[in-house]
Amino acid sequence: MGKNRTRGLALASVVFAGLALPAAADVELLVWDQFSDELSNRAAEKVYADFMAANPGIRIKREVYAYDQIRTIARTALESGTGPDVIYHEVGPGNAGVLARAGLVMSLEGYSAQYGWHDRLQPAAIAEGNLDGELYGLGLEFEFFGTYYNLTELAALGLSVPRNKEEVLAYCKAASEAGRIPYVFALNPGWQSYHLLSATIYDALGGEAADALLFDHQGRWDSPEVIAAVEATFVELRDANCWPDDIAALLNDDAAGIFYTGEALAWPTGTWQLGRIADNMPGVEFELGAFPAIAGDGTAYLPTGVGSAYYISTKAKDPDAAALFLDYVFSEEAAEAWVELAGFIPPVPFDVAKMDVPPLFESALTTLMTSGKEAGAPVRVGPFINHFVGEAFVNVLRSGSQAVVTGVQTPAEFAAELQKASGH
Amino acid sequence: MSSPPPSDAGKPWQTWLRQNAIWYAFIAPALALYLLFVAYPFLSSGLFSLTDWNGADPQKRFVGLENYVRMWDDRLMWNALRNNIVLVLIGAPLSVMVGLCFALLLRDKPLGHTVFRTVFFMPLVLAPLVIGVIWVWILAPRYGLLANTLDAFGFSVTGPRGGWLGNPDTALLAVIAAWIWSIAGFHFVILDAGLKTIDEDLLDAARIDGARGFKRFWYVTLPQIRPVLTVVLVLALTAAFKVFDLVFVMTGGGPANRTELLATYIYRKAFIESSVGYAAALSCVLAFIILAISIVVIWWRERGRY
Repeated sequence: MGKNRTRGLALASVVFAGLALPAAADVELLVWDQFSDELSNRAAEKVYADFMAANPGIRIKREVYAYDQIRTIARTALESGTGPDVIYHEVGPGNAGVLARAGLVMSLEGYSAQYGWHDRLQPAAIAEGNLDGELYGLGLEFEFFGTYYNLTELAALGLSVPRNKEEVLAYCKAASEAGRIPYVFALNPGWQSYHLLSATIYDALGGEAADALLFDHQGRWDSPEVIAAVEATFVELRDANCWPDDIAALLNDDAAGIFYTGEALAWPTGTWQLGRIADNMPGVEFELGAFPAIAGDGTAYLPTGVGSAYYISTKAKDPDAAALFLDYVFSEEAAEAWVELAGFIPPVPFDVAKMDVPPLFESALTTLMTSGKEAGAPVRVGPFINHFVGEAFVNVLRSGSQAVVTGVQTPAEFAAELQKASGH
Repeated sequence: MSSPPPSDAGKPWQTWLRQNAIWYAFIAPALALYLLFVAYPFLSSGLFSLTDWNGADPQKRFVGLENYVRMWDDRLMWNALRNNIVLVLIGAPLSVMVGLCFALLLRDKPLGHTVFRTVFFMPLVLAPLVIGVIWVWILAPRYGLLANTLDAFGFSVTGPRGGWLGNPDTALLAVIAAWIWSIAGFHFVILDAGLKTIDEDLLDAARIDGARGFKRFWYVTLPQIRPVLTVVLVLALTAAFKVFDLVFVMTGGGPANRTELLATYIYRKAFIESSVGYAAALSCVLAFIILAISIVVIWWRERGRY
């Protein structure tokens, strides 16, 4: 009796274990992404789960890495053949561009023709995934760099959002006299400077001249206009107490905490923070607009682009399945999850009226829709400079910004280093 | 009459094998690991240093000594080397002195010595990344433990403008302080063991002869622990040249490259700027520097001994 009972239990265990095991999928896709924070992780989990539900023959095995972690291990992993089939990697010639040139990620031109990505996705998402005119990656998070103003705190202090340099200086004076930080900004380790300088350098040069310098190498990075932009950003605003004293020591998370507590009235950063800000500051009224023009003719610029993009490995076991997966990630169905759960702006058409989004998200969309590429627009759209230059140049942007704001270097010296690093 | 045993005179290698094979069998696993994880990567690095490889291309273009020539004009490399030398000259001796002080204080087993021993050793079990994060929290001017503790005791010390980690003049010193804290426990353990080997009779004799504390330390203790001190000093110097994690977490090499060290610079070149060939050349130079300094220190400390 005892033995039969034992056998019965053992058999039942095997049966239940067998039922619990997932059915063998035809294809398993290994996907590496960077959605490690709670909000974006939630969104990614849902999108991937929905894709698998719609495609039972494909199983997604997901691994999450920090963005700087992925860039150090991606090359070895992709080359080994045991790495990811799909990888979410930082764009730019010095980042995913290296992978593309080495033949580690495949061209998506064929799949784009099949799925219509060129027509469906925002041009910026396509452009930043391009290398030498060929599409390699699809950027998911359409981002722009602006400034979040805590309107609730501003109203309590009797302040308003500044729109030009004079108003910025007056605002900084009033805010600092009230014991608040006018603009919290973190320059440790310094990547944050790329976005701010993308705005102010474009302010100073003007869109056409800045585009010519960045894309056609016409002009110089040590021109008086660029020097003026750096001077205004890191010297004049520093001396006007616009930035916190410890700007060069603050980490991005520190800046976030200072803004969440209301100690800082404004935070120049990008839409990649939108979801977290809305989540951490419920009930607060915001405005998300362009950083005011502090150089040039007074036209403010909104640097836009994508941070990372999805790429398919040339050693992917099933590239067709990988492309099908990407097509779903950029579908209108998935857009709902990306918008509502992560606060992303996916580069595909979506109807925000049908979605449950915080007012801050609508503010971001309004800013985007009211800005334009053409001259005469109240706010003009520009690129992220760091997405189109080499890493040596990016390194100078990072360290030079710290050097100028701490007084180690003059704006002219910084600009001279930029010109040298440009290699032109 | 029995025939003499066969002579092995024509097969010396067989004799050698019979006599030595067992010893090589014992060291073979360790040797294999050393060759695989130390020698092979080092040699590969040397070969990479002769190319302009970006870490991804299947082809590696041979460029000879171009990477080594490039170093001479690389301002940032000299900046990193200078910062490393500062760390070595200040941090290494101080970390050894702190470890020695801890060991001397606990030598006579005062009350609570077990607790203190554990406390001194504890930083060693923490990952350097964790130590870096802790020190960022300690040194933060806005909400840091240091500033708030001093404030609680009535000392309003805001630190340098920009905070310890945000001021170019103090950032490296702050990193050095964190590094000393992280490694002094290791030196303490070794020096503590070294102090236990001192002949107590010599100390008693010195005491009887009227030698006070410092004289006993200088003329009896220090010469007795000289070999141990040499080892600890070399380890400290080597470790100082390899600091990476602390800087990576605390400052990222900033502000304005004031805390960039050779290890972080090599990382940046290899993984951020995709100049693996140049980074390999830098790491070869770093290895040579560490080797040269180690030889010099050992020779200087042990001169006249043999």
